[in-house]
Amino acid sequence: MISCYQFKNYISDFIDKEISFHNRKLVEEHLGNCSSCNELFQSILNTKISMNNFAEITVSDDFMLKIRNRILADRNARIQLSRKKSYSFSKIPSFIYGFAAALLVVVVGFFIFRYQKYGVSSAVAPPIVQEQIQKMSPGSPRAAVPVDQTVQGQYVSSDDEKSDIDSSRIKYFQGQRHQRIPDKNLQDRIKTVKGQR
Amino acid sequence: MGNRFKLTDEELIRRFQAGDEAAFEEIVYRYSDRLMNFAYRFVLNREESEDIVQDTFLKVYQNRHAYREIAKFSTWIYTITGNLAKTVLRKRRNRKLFFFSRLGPEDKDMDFPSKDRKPENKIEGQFDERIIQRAIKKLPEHFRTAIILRDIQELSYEEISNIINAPLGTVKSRINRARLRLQEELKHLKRK
Repeated sequence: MISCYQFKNYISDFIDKEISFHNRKLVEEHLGNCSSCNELFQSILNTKISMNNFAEITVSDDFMLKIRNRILADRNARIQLSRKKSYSFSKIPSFIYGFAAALLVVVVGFFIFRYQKYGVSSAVAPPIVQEQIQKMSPGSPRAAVPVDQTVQGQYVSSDDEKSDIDSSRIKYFQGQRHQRIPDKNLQDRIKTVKGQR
Repeated sequence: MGNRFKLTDEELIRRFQAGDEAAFEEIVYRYSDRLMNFAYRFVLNREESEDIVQDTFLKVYQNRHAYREIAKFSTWIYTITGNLAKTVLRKRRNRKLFFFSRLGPEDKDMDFPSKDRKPENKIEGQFDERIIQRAIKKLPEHFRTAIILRDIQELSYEEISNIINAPLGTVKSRINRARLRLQEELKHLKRK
């Protein structure tokens, strides 16, 4: 004989027929002797039957259509999302544009500065200076010597060539190039020439 | 399509994984009402239940390759529905906590099916569906899941064990305790 507590432990197994033969006999014996447990058993059994007979809830008639629409909507959403994820100019943050513009200005500025510094070096001397050079040494190949070389003293500094370059022209020359004359001797010589004048 | 009725669920999902869209339709056909009933017993609202079932099939569609034939397909799909239903309940609970002052009676959102059970099925002493449903609603979530799966969906202990991811012994014990607790709730409701 089992207690009511033990019976309650076996009751579901008994209802679902998942109980061993031995335990089933014990439960049946208890049911025959205990009215309250019998009542409980009947109540559980009836509830189970009631639940089995619950009204069936069915999906709406257009359920399949709704599913298809949702799948389609989901697919479109995924496509749009993947498109957004792919490369586009709109995805570049605005500060990148600012940074690129600043970089461009720096690069262009650098090349302009560099051109101004060295670009003239390949140019020939101003026509007035060329004329003076030709006057000093007619037929000399130095007539077309670039200003660079003249700056480094090849014609201005040569001792044998007594320059009669007009001081105003030297001023012009100095005005153009005085900052780039690396040789101090040359400046001294120019002063000497100016003094002689 | 005729021979599809002979196919098992696992064969159907295998075909669907291979790209057969008609197999998916057959799965929807087989499971929509079953899942609708299952979801409805959780949330007691027809629209929400249908949304849950739609979400379930959408998840099956999107994650069809995630299914591996280590478990029954029914177990997999019931697990998805159960999780979605629990999410809905959780959201509803949070909403209630937030707007509790505006809520009416507890059973306000219960939406019972209009069609009653068939008269020939009525047995003397059976409880009314509404009362049972109210009593089920009062059960803790793990008891509710167990009793819905066993007594309404009539799934086996093994299937329930796989769905709720608990050992067989735990499932048996949970169902037993859920049934006893349900009787207590029913007594309490009948007294009211």
